[in-house]
Amino acid sequence: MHHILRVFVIPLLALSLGMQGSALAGTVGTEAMLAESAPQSEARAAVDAELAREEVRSQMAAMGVDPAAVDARLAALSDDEMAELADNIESAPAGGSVIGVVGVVFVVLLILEAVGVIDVFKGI
Amino acid sequence: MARSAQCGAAALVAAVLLAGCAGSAPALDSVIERAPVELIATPFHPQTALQCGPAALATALEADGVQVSPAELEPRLFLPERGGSLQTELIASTRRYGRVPLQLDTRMQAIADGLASGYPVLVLQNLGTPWTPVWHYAVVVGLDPEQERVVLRSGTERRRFEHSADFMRSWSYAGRWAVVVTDPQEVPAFASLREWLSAAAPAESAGQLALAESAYAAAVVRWPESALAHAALGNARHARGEVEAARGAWRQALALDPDLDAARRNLAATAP
Repeated sequence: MHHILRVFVIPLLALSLGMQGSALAGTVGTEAMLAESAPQSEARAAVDAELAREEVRSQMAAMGVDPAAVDARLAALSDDEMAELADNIESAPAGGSVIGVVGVVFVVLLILEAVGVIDVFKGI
Repeated sequence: MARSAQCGAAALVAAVLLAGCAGSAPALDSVIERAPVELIATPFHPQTALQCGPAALATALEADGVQVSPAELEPRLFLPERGGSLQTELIASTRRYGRVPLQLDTRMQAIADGLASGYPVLVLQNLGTPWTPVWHYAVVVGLDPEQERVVLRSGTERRRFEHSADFMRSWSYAGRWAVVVTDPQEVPAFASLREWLSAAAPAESAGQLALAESAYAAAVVRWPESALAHAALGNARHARGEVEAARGAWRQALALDPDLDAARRNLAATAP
């Protein structure tokens, strides 16, 4: 599946987005303006964003997000945010609760709590 | 098993070292210059199960006049496999509800300034250790330098008191991430130009164009001499298809700063 994607879909995507991008040829958005790095071409940026989008889409589905909700979640993200999530959706801090902590980590936290170093089990 | 026992032992040693450090945290009144403050009118949404992200964001949104329940936010934020919600999606969802997610700098003073202007402050905490993190979102609603305490809407507690040293530790372990939720037309007094534009800029490529335009228009009013603010306003107008109005804003930006390449490039790219 991924092989097919690379060989056929990506060049097509690049071509169609490149053509679509020509309408906005060469303008720089505010995210890029503030980043102060050399802005890349719109067509290249559009392909990168599309690849990141597909990556995040499959990751979200694999992580148990309701497929019906995935599109709305992707639509809310900027290009930079999409790239960020494609990189770190598995490792970025996920604020939840201590209920999700298991095994050795749980025991360590329990001991730390007992000796008063941390305060994790109260009130979450 | 031997391996995990080793890891556990290493973490314990580290924790003992940490305990040594915890006592040396600076007093609250040495890092902020404020009288006690508590935003008692801030609403409260108690967290259910793993939903501190939706609960904390609902609290911050409602404090700024957006009625939304944690249950409504949950399908937009929660990642079941990760057992929690990501900062990036809290930020993106804030914009979806028409509000600017203004990220503060990493000083405790920034939280104090936010509260003093009436904004509760959404924070990420690491309640565990750097090696065994337990990520948790909460909303700071009060600071009391005399009592050395921080007041939070957190988990199932409407008023959770944390010693300021404990709060600063858990907040620092989570990268000192702090966000206030603001109306796009009202730039908070404590916001810097760059913070404000950076908070609004992602709205452009996310297609939240009305939000971007009103935030930039407010920036132009607040910082009329800023070429960046005018250029950003031009970008939002251009994205909305208002090319002539966009070109006017870019020209204004260039008049203020002839070296602003983005404005020059955008003018050239849209020349009739």
